[in-house]
Amino acid sequence: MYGTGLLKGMAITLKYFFSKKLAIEYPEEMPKLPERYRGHLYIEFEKCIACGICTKTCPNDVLSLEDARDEVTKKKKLVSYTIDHQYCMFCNLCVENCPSNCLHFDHNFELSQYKRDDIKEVFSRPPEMDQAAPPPSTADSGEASEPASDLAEDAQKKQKKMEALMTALDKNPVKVLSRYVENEEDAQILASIVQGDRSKAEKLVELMADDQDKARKVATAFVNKEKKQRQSQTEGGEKHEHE
Amino acid sequence: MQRIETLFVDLSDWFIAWLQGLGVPLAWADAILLFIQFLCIVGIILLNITILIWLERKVSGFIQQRPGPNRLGPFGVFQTIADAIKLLTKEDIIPSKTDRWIFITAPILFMTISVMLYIVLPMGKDMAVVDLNVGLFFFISLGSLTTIALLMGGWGSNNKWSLLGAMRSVAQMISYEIPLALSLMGVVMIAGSLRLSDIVAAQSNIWFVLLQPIAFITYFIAATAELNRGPFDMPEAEQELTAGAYTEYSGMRYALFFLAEYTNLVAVSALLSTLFLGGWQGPWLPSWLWIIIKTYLVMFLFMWVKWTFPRIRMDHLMAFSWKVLIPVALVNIVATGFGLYIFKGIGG
Repeated sequence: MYGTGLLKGMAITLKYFFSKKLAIEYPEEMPKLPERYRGHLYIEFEKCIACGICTKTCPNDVLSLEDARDEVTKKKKLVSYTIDHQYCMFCNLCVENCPSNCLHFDHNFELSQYKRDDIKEVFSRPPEMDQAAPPPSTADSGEASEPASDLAEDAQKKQKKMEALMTALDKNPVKVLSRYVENEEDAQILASIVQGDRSKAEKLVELMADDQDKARKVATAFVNKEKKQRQSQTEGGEKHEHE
Repeated sequence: MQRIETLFVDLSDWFIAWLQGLGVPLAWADAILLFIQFLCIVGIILLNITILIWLERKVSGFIQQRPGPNRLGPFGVFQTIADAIKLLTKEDIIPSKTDRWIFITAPILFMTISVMLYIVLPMGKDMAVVDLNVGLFFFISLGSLTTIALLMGGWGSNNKWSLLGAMRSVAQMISYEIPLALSLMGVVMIAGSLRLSDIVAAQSNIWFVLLQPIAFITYFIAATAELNRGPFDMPEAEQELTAGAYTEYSGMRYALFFLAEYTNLVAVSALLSTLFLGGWQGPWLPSWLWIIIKTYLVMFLFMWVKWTFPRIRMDHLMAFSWKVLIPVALVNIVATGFGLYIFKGIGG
């Protein structure tokens, strides 16, 4: 009979009218994403072996890494890892090819930024990784080495480390020193002190290679002293003006 | 209860008496009352349209399993107001190649005709502005005038989409005018009058939707086409003709067309409930509330149909009118005539 199809259609829309709404009101309500959804790419810094396969597989040159050789273990270690999300096409090739499974996509898809530079994400080596790094132990090899030679070896290593730190300090003082003080501003103050006084720099470097905590304390002490000096100078200047 | 029932009639009587008390002659007092009634009608229209546009978006959303507008105010009720403010503050653009005066007058004419439809509608017991003895005829003839406004808009825009939309609307409206009028003949035959209050009075025992079910369906279909609503929204047909006759219109002029369409929808829904659903008659509630309830139910039906069916093709649309609706309406008139003859033969 004519018209039954129309009535059927009306019945369906009426059913939909009273049914639960499917719309997800996004900013308030997050969508349920499938488990393997490719959102924001991130790296597990601890797992990375700095092999660079990811940077070679990436078709868009999204990934880049900075590595260094660990003085102690003689292995490559990751210093910083940069993901330029704006060029990523979520092809998953880097994740597939990572031998240590340290690259992952998470479910965060809100990647937009106000500035283009903010899209780039830089992962830098967390300082606790260097601290927690086990001292060069030969327990695995099972060889009982001579304590004297051990000491000599230690001294040599320390010397090498100090040299490396010194060159780094000369090259980019703020970056190196920012690990030992609380903020960027203090790091800059410290850098100016160190550049002005070579003996202080040497003292600091020695402490850095030997005992991180002590180095930190000394560095803060330097900064505080310098700050006090500067403050008294400016105050004196002001007083002078008033007079 | 009696107070609420006759609230508006009492108010107008009191107003006339008050004016006469001030020394205003009766004819002048009537004229002033008429003007106030006009303002009331405009108020009713604007209020209803505000609700109606919100309702349309909400219904369409619900049918498509969306929540519809829900940001502005509770359940998004202020969405229409925000849209109206946006349209009012838009730049008034008249394209340089248009036929300027026709372009400007078309939306105004459209809106004027739509408002005039309300003059004869009984909005409660004794609550028509003018209870014409040819009320139904007045309504149908004015309703068909909107074609001219649409054609003016389409022609004046000097745009191919506009003109095509306008031509379609003329073809469609002229074709559907015939079943529209024919399907109302049955009602008029039974009621024996073209006066709308008489037709309402004739339904005191039984609604005409039960006596004239075929006429109800044919009128509903023809009215949908007359209103340019889906599935017969050929003059707009945004997928084919961008916005049809309204393509070149923007800002308040577009809003006027939009308002007029919804004004027509309210008017036709009110007429449908007057002619087939017993008008303002109903138990318990005051008469003016009954007509509102019935009108809104009919409007919901219109929306339900619009958001269920896809747009019909232009040639199918014409074929449906001439080959199906008009014959069915004619047969209905003949059957009604026989029915009345037999009924009167038995009764008298």
